Amino acid sequence: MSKTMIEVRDLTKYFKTPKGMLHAVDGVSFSIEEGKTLGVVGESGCGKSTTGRCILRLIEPTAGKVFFEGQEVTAMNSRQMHDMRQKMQIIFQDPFSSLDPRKTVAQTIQEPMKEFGIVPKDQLHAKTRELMDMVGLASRLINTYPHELDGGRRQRIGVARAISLQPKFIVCDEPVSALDVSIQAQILNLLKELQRDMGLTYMFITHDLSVVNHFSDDIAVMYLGQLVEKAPAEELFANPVHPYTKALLSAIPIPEVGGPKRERILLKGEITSPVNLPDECRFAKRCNYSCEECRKSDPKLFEITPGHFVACHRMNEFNNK
Amino acid sequence: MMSNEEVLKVENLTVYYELEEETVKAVNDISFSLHKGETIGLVGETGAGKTTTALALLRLVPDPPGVIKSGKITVCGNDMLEVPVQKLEEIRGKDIAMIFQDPMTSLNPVFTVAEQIAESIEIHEKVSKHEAYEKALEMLEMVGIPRERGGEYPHQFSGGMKQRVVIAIALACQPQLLIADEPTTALDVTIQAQVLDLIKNLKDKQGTSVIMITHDLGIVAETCDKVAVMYAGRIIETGNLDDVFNYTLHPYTEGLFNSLPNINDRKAELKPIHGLMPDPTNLPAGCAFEPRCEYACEACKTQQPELVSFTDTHKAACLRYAEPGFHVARGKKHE
Amino acid sequence: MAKKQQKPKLDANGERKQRSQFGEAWHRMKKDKGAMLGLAVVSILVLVAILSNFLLDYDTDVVGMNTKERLQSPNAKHLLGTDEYGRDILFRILYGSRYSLSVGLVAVAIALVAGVTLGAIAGYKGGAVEEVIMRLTDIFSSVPNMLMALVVVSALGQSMLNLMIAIGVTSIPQFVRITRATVLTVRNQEYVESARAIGLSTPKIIISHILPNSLSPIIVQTTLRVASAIISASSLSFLGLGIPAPNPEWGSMLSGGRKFIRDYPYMTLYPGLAIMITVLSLNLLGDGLRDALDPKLKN
Repeated sequence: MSKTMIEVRDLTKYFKTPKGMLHAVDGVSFSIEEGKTLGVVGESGCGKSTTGRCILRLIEPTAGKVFFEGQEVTAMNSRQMHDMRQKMQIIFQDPFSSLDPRKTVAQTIQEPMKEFGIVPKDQLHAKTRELMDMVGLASRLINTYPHELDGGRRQRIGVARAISLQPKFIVCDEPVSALDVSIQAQILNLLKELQRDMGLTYMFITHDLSVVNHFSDDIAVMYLGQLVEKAPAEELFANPVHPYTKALLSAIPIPEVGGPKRERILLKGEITSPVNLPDECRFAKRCNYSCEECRKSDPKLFEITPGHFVACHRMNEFNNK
Repeated sequence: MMSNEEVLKVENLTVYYELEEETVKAVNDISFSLHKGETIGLVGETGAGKTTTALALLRLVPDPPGVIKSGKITVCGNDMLEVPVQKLEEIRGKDIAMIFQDPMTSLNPVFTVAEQIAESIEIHEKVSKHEAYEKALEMLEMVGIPRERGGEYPHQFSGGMKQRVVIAIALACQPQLLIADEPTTALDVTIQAQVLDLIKNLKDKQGTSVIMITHDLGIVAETCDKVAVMYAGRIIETGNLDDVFNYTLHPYTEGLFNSLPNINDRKAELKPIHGLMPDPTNLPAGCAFEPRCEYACEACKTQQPELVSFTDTHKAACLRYAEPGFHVARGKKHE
Repeated sequence: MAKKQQKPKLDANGERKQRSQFGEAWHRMKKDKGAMLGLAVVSILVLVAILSNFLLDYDTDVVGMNTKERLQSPNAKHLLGTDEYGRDILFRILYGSRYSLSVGLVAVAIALVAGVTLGAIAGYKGGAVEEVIMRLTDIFSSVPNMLMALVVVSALGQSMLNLMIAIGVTSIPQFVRITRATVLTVRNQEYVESARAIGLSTPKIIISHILPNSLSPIIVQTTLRVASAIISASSLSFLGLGIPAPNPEWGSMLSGGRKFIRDYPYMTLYPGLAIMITVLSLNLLGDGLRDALDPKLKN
């Protein structure tokens, strides 16, 4: 019996810049079921990080609504939002700048628990050790400073901090991108294990498609602030419909030798500017298949087969099912 | 395409960074060679010594604190460690060129892109300023940037385009050897595909040999002919693509492959290498990988493994292969 | 084998020497000879200032007039000579350190508290609040320091407290600026965002995360401002607006010795040297602190 944990409706975030209105996130809608992982992929400027932060209201959305277990997060006042933070947390990308250099491991991990007062003072130390154990940090490190540790260990501190309040939902913003390959795998395994043990729901933001395939139940592909395709992970990889998704998938270098040769789709040009966008498909300029219709209006997200959403005027032609 | 002409030969190169309190043993006794038109992938994680190796080839290791303790580097017949500085400056940019990782800081913000490409041509070829500029514009076209944009400044270009300009500068004088240090790490995946494609086309056209430094085995599979895997400043496995990918020998190489999510099999568990990279100021007496190796034996702690040949092309440095019948779990066995 | 390594790294045994950021900075500073010299001299001065109250008797040693002994060049009895009233110059200089250091410290303390608070609020909040604070700061700093101090002292009257207030107030803009600049950098760090994600309120974030990480420039500024406060105090006293006579403030000693400078130069030389040495060592210390705390030097 799966219920919807997170629902996002027409989430929009614009930034005012000297050059005009920057459309960071534009009318994005999706939902995440309890206990599942939604992988959100896209390249620079697609708005995936901004979306994650808007859900947590670390950045205030310009428009749109966010629901957590049915409650409207975007309508909450600061008191209610404060309490909400216990249930929704975030793990950051950069293990170097996401930890206060002047605080020890213990102080960083304990801060959320102290803020919410959920653990009595005399039990704080024990609870900290327990958390460190859960994330694979040796307890002798309890009084060390971030600069004494490597990236992998720092990221584990970030994870321990995020789970200390026993949240239900965690936004993982490129949690392994800054780590070496062998450490990446350690952290990914850790996150998976925690999800199983604690029943967590994740929004996993990344640009690395091979990681997202391994890690997610559903995948959402974003481009220039919009959701262009969303489908269960297996379906997306087996039957990508949107031309951008296809290009993205074909661009991943595969560490295999001697297999069948892959056709690589090369996109034209560069990612266009997200400022002052005209009413047309944002991908049209780079798309190898763009047509008249594509330049006239912005395609909407349609459910092409159950669970598989695409925003493309020519989607029926591209659908291989 | 490949002739037997040897473009690069590195013999027993050792580079240390001698700091006040400690010495960083960045590169430890490595040897490899490259023939005309070949591309070798230098693979390793942070601290493996790849960038230091690249810098050493151009004698660009910051000195102090970097010191080339021993070794010989021969590029197109020149002994790089012995040639006088003038000759060195002739070689750099003309015979060997380098592309760095970060396109943001590789370009000088106060000169236009065409000027920067032309600068390289002017220095190395006996042509007039005007001719050099003209050639620069041609290079721009070759890397896929319209020549009209030659008069623009770096900040007016995106990351991918800046990297193309960097490639244009590097290839302007048609070098024999191109060193690309993580050229696409800072770029988006679709732009990365474009840039790798560009490098491939240009190198095929000009017959350039390439050293592709990367941590991404996927890039290696797509762009290289042979591979050298580095760990703690040593080459622990080397061979052609088929050797290293399908007949994997060294436990570390196996560990790297196991850490990667398999795009064809999403359910497979990731098997990370436990533990951390060794401290380059405090390397163990024996095999540097031993603390993290699941195949380690007693001898591994004290004895330094040497590179042993398994076939004409495939070498690996692992003591356990002295035992008959030993092989890591991954990959096929050589006959 | 090799010399015992003192880096705070973790080796295979898990033995580690814990060293905080300040610990590392101290380690770096120890190597800087100029900074250590400055620190030593400043420490001595502080000791002198504290002890002179107990070792010297104010009425006899410091202000007691003794016309028989007047205008003596340095000799065995009066190591630095005597002034026109027969007062021992050495004793007066030693005692005078109390004025300089206390004015310096209190004035800077006032500036620190007010300046850092305003700067932190301006830097973190931004928007209209920042505009108002910064423009007020600009107005304040456009008036020359000495003039401002003069005005304050003239209005409030001449006393040590008013001197401290005057100099303190003129030092506020520097602290506002430097705090705001650092806070602007720090507030964009992800750990600040992380603090917000945990639900910390703005004041808590500023106190717990932003200020501790903004300390370096503030510490350096403090040391340097104490030096300039001492010069201001001396200047004002020189003009007769600072510490009133017969108190042996170094600046007023300079002023008093002016008439005799041709024949009895030691009367101005030694107080002048005292000011110079104090300010120089504070500057050396401040520079040393800046170098030690500078993150760019961390490798």
